[in-house]
Amino acid sequence: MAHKVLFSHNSDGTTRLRLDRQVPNEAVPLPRELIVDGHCSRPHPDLVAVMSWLCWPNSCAGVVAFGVGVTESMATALGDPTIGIPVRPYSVDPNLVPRRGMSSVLAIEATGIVGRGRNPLGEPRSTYLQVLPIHRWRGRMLSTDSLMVSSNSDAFAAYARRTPGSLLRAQLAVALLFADELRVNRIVAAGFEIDHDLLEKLDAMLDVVGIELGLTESDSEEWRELVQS
Amino acid sequence: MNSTLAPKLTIVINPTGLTVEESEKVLAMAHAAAADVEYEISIATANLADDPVEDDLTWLRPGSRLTVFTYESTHPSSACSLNTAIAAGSSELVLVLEQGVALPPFSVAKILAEWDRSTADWLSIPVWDEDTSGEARHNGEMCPFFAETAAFLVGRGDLLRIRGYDERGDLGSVASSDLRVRLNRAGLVSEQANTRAYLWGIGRPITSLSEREIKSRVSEDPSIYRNLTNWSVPTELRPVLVSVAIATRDRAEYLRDSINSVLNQTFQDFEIIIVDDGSTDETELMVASYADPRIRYLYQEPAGISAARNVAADGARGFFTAVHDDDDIMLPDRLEIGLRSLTEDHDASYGSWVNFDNETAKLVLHVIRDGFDADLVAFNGQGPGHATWLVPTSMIRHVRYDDTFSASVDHNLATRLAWSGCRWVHTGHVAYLRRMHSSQVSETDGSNQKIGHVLTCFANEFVASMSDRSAMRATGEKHVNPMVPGRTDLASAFGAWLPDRLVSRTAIFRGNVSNKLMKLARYSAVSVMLTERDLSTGRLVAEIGFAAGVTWKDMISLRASGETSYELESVILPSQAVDAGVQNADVGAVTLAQIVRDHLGQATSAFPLKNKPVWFVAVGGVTDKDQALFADAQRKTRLVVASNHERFRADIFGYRSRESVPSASRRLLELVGNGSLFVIDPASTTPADAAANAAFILKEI
Repeated sequence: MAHKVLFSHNSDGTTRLRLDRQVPNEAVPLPRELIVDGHCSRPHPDLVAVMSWLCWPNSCAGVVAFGVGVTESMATALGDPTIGIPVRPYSVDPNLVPRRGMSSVLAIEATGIVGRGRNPLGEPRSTYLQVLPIHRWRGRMLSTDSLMVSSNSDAFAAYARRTPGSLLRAQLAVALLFADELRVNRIVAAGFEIDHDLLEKLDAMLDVVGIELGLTESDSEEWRELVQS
Repeated sequence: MNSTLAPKLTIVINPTGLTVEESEKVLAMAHAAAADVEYEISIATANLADDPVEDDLTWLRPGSRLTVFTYESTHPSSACSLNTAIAAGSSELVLVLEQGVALPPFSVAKILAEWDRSTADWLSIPVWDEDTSGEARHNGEMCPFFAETAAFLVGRGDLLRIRGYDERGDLGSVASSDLRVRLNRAGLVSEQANTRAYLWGIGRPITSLSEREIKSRVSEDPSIYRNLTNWSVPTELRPVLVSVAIATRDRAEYLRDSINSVLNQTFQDFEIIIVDDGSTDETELMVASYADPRIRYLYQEPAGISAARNVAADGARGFFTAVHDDDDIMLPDRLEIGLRSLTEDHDASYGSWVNFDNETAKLVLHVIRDGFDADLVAFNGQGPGHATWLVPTSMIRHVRYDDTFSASVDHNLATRLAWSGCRWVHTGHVAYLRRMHSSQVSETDGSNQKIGHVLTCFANEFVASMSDRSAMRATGEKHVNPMVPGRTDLASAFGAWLPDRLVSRTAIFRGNVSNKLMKLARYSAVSVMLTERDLSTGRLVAEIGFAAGVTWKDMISLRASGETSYELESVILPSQAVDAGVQNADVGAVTLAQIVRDHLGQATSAFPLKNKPVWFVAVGGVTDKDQALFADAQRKTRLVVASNHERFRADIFGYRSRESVPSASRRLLELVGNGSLFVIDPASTTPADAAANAAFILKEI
């Protein structure tokens, strides 16, 4: 086992997903932790596995421990060679119930305006998630239809080297952190660049955790209407 | 070097030690493997005239696809050849094939296709024990002990960033495994290619060590960056690894000291970016006077220190930025130690510093606790000293200095970097001397500095609950102060690096002194020369030269010429000496008597203690002919010391036993008519002590 992914609450008030090497000298790219302000409840283990794959697509390869066992469906999805380098979860929990039965929508945007605080989706049971850079903002704010939270997810995009779709990957990872608490079964992502291969892989992974991913352009008619409404 | 193409790929092969036939075969195989690809082959050959292939160099004739780089190296090795060939290449991608490893025909195109599909940072190409047709030899298995870097594809910049193969001779065949480990430590993720490489010919084993032994060897040094002070890669081929960022305004005089201290670094592959935040003094002219291509000057209308620092980060070419201030003085090993401290668990380094009073030279140490993070900020609000930082430039560019602050920008940025996941490490050393004077930011903008500090500390704990804040402080308290070298005697450890006007320095050269002093290019500085010659063989045993009044300019001149082996003695000048804690300082050059006494101790201590031998020291008077009389002396040595004003010669005769003393002394006394004869009898002490205690001998000089 080369790597382990740990979910933890830090005493500085943050929630962290950290990639640790289990074998000395294994490569761990920058940044090593996804940090989000505030303590979040532990997501479903399958969500943690998807978040890890989103954050560290190259390092989460081979046998990886996610702290707790994932479902067999997730193990199968991670082991699919079409996702890139197959991941073999260190432990599979046959009794773990797959994540299902959620019913709300979460919207994320590549270049949102900080503090807009308005849900462009305008749908009931939908939340507009704004991820703010933790080096500029601290804490989180919640309204009935919006959540603003600080995270270092921007660093994943900033330091990404040869990983396409890194901005979406990082923001999506933060969105998945809140997916259980907000009972999300659909994520709408606006303005992100993503290639077809990655989208296919994402769809396959998210399908296991009962989430549908919809993509739209930030400057699309549909999105503008939503924002202006 | 002959490079006529801008290829997609540089194939690096290593001809060191190969026969002509083998070399030709390696080249032919590489050409065949890379057919259908835009490529070049790069070979570096050290000291070609001495190379075993000198009889037939036709295969090394540069062609449209072959770059041959010949370089000077005193200790050529495979690591040196590979590093130089990598640096001499012109493409962004490098395919390295170590000796004994080859690729099948047309396989490079497949590897490049795999690279394009992969998101990894480098591809390792597995080496199988089979021949060119894929026919298995022996067991037809993947070769044991073949490091993942026996054949690999990587970005040239990444490989040069970690400074290639470690060139330390003792690493030998482990250098390949060490390279793989360091690529990983640097966070560069690898993927194994599907395309195979194979062993050719006799299948040279890359190492005979077991996997456990290899792991043990490469674990001995946890650092990532190597060859920091000695690298065979010629200077013109080296990439900038560190950008030293200096923001300045109207401090031309101090800035000169600041720049000088960077130019005197043991690690030399840096650039200096000076961002002038609207100076009206002669700063620009002063900087231009250096005419050093490594120094870049950027002017901006006054916009504040944060803006200037961001400009420096945006313009930096180095992977790392070393922060430096325009009024401070880097210690010579500051960059080297900063780089060496970075491991797989640390992204940025910082260190301690010593304040010096710009008038009195009084020195005060500031250590700073280890492992800077949010917990340490919560505990004591402490931040890493700004001018000690070595931080990846990409991190500064991304997080950026907050230009709404006019002070405490460093503490603020360090803390925000930590929030973003940057892991700091203390180098355990003092990084620089901080000049205390009346125009410092802390003196002129103290209140803003405090406000900035308070805001940062507030944000640091903002998200934590009250109980968690206590936990943070408790954790922060566990961070300890490192035991930095030199802390017990600041004047001795760091005094030599004070500005010229505060200190008197003497450089001591040993070995081939004449050549070394030539590099100083200032013969007037040479105060004393001492030679020790074995009178039995005529062999030169030791040569020592003392240069007094050494300045920063001299030190830079020596560094630029590659002369770094001298020792430096310093004395803080008298008007400052008392405040600096130095009592009764002996100002100026060391005296002749001191030099002789010191060296006499060294010379006589080399004599064996067997049977308590006795030495005679004949000061002058004994001719070369006369000294032949002392055939029973176990050792005959002549010390000659010369300065501008004096010349002194002492012949030292060591006898095996005290019984020889009466007759020998009688003979000597007859000879030293115009000199003096002294006896050192270490009957009750060691020879070195006896010689050192015989100070009376030298009072007559």
